[in-house]
Amino acid sequence: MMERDYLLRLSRAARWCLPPAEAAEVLEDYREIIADRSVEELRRDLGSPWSAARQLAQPGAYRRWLAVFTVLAACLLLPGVLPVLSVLSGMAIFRFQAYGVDWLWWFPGLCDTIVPLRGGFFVAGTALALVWFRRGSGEGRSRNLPKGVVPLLVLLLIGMAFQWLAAWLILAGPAEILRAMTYKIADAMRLTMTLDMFSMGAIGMFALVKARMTNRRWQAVYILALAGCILGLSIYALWTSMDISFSDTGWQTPILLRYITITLLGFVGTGVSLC
Amino acid sequence: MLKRDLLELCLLHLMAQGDQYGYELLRRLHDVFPDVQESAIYAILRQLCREGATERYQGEASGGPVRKYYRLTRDGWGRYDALLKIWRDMRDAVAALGIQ
Repeated sequence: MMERDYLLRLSRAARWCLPPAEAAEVLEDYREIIADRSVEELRRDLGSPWSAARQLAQPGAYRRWLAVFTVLAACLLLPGVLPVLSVLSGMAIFRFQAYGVDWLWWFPGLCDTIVPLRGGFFVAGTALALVWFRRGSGEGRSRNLPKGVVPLLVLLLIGMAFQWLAAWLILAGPAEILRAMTYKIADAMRLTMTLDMFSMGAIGMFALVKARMTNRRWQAVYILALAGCILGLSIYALWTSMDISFSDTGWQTPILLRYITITLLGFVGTGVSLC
Repeated sequence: MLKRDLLELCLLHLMAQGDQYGYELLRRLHDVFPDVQESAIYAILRQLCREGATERYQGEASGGPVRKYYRLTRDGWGRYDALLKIWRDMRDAVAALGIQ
């Protein structure tokens, strides 16, 4: 492990374990500490970069960050990933033994369970990200956006546009299109929607890590990805719903309002994060 | 008194003798306790700073890079005295048992 390599790894570990300002200070000190040491000396005198960073982290503060990260990741991944697993459920039914009993589990059940909770995921994820990253921000007043934020925001907007297209088809799609939609087309649409949500979940997770390790403005990508996943889950639930009460007159209005609210709140959260 | 407290005492003791260059502090303590990694000593030094027992400042550089120096604060002196007392009591207690 060369000096530069050690610093690079330490930089990653420190930015993960420590608040931004403290991590920058530590890295500055370590540049001096590790200068002119051989690989063996680095290993012997300083230990691994990860253990060095962990020793510097205050246990309480680090545990708090891990708890926040877990909540933010769960808010994003449960709505983002479960629908994909749901699609795979035709092929993936798990059998396992617990308490001496054979259990069967398939994903649609799990997916249906989280649909009513999506509002909670959205509010909790957005509010926690806004509060946490603003509080721990240490980048000063730089107005420059980190490289990569804008392209990912554009990608997410394209993903959300696709979800709106799916919503439009159900809520206001012309009869000719709906009549022409075969089972295969509908299923391909469903699969594309789940992949769309999965991609948004992956982008959101990437942004969450970047928000901690480089620049808090990455939270804008996380919040828009979260809004995309929640919106996608809502539309997916409607797309796959067997509820016949949807045939009442004007059933579309409250659903449409819900989708608009999610989208607007996502935009507002993203805008606030970018400031 | 744990080994961590002992290392803390040693750091405070070195700083009680005068302001110390951070890198030098790590090297000197690592020479005395070779089984303790410098990263662990650095973590204790930072914790002392965070708790207000020490403070750091940038020393004047004569052509080279700016060096960071550490010195004791009023709280640091109090902590040093307290740890020194614990250490002396412990040393006397052990000596009373005949352990040299």
